[in-house]
Amino acid sequence: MARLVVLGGGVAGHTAATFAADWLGRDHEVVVVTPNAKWNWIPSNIWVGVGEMTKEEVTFDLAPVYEKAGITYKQAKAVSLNPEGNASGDKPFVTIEYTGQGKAGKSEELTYDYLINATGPKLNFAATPGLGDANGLGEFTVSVCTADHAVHASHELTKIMDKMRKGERQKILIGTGHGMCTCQGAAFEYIFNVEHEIRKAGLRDMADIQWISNESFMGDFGMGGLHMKVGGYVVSSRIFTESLFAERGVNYITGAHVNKVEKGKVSYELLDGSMGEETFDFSMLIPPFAGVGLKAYNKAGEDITDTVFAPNGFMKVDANYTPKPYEEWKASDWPRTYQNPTFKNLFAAGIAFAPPHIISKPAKSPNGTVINPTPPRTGMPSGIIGKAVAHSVCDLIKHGPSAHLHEASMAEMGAACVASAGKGWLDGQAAAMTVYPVVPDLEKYPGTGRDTDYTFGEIGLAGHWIKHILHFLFIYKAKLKPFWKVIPE
Amino acid sequence: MIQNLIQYPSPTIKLISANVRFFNDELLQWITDMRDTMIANDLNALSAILIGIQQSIIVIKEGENYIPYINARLIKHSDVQTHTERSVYYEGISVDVDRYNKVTVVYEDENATPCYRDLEGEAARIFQQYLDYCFGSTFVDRVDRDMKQRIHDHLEFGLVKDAGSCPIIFYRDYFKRGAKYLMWGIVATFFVPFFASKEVLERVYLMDKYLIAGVILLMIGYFFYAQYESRQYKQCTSCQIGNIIGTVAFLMGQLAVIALGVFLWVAP
Repeated sequence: MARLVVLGGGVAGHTAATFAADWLGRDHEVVVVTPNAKWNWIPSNIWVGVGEMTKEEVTFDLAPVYEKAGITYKQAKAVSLNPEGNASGDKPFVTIEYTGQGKAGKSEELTYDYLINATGPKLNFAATPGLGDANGLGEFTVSVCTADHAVHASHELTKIMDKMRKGERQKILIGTGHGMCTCQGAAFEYIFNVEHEIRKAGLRDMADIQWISNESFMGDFGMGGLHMKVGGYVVSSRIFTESLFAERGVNYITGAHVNKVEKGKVSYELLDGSMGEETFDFSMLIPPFAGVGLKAYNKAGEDITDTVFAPNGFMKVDANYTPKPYEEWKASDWPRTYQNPTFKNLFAAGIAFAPPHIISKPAKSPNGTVINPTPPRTGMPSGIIGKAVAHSVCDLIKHGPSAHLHEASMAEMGAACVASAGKGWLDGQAAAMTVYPVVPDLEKYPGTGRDTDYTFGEIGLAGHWIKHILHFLFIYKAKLKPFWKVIPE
Repeated sequence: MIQNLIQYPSPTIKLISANVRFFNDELLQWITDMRDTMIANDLNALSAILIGIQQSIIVIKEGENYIPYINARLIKHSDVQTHTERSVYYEGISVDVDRYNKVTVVYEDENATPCYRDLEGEAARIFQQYLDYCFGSTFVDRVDRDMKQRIHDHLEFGLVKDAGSCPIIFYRDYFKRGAKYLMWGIVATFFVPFFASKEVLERVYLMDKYLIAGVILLMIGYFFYAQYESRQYKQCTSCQIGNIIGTVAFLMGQLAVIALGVFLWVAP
């Protein structure tokens, strides 16, 4: 009997673990190690953050689902990896530290035959002074990255809306909290949901709403932009986004690295090297992502973290990490199998794998500050990669080390994203976007590197319905209800 | 070398320009061509896409100099003002457009050196107008819906919707229309039993059977041709196959009801 350990129970980890358990059956063991007791459909946190959904609607308990699937569930966080075992044995193991199940704080060495690292990111609030620290979110801003954060954001939003009702004008600042953030789309969704809620409450004239982002142009979304279809006409995401902001009276700052957050004030540096400040009464700033900080040790107990992980803490996989200038970037630099090049029984999925480089054009201020979005690896790509990696591991277990590894390169993969711009069955709006491929392939598609037939977006009420339907559909799938496997990633 | 200007109704204008990656002789040649084209056409600015080059390059005339702005971005803006703009693409049309009066731009020069500039007034307006071309847009995308409709009505072929614009009528719809006409024809024969002799009714019944077969053939033709056509216009909608299957299922349902009527009512 082989044991597959999956670190993380997010989109990638949950997908990998549930498919692997289904394909392997009871002949082999699948173990999930995640510090969380609940699964969270993160895209709907946006609606929790404006009070349109409760935490309970976007989360569910993992234990009963894993029990049903025959998966061993350990509510714990991974601390270190020993891919060669240690002095007392050759069996590789991962050291975990429990966060629940009545064993909080206890450590365990969990051996494995195969390991999928799908820990997701560390929300690196500490990267920006004042945005937070090693313990997480700071006191000056809010976040929608977790369901608890979103509940907190909703409470803070209610407070400023109460102030508006009393006649106090409020300044709202939403965007990215560092020059190397990803997930601009989440901040984009949140600013428009906040604006929608304030408008719905009849308080729009009491709020100044400001966007701040590390994108070099509006609508970059960390992917270098795309086309949008509006009213039957195609426009670039830049023009579309600028028009949307203008239409809703939202001002914007782009090319910004937020370098300090204080009570009611952020300081930032722009791509031209100039410095600025923005005040706020309510602010939601997305933090940058980093690896979760797993350490790796060899058999002798020496630190081999640099061998297994990239400097940003994400796991090295079969990507081409040779540093090279922008003009030499290729689609083939991106990983296909997500197998660690040194330890063939280690895989990474979702945000946990180290990308070879960013997608948008790299940019630096004259002061040397890097200000560019990092590549999005959430949602659909995470699920697809998780499933492909699970498939590879199952084949390796069933057919031995010569088994064919399944491939899911982001340079050959399309992705769909539905960005909410306000919740409501009749007055809601969302932008539905598809890109193909996620990572531009400039050799195959000269010009922008994407197939323009498949790189597209459309905004409207129907988009909101799709977003709402996806909410129910993916939670249904994650709960492993009947026919869950036929619902695509 | 002087190049031809892209003008309405060329759909090339809707292409989003790629970032310039290679700062080489080819780039210098493009810039030279843009300058020559500007001089020949007495233009004070030009985006590369206007001469058919899908690269993010703008050349702006400043005094006697022609300054290239490569991979330009607008990062600071203030003071919105309304300007009446003309476009080399839409000849003879001018519209009022809101533009920022003060902007800060970042860009690279022909040697890939990052540059930063504050622009004000007319220089700021020109930069914004030509930056829009690099993003596959013209001033039409900056005006409200009513104005857009007026421009659409004014233009001979209407507004260019996208680089591979969707047809107003899909040819597959002719199959659908044909099937519907045939079905109406069959429905019309439902009145025949009220007044026709048995002999006539037998002929009508035979004709109905041929018509039903014709509808089925048209539906099969629709199903396959529609898929072929949808591959030509993948950008027009994201779920054409769903529409095709749905349409066929709906029409087949209608045909089933009509056929039942034929066999139970028209059959002698």
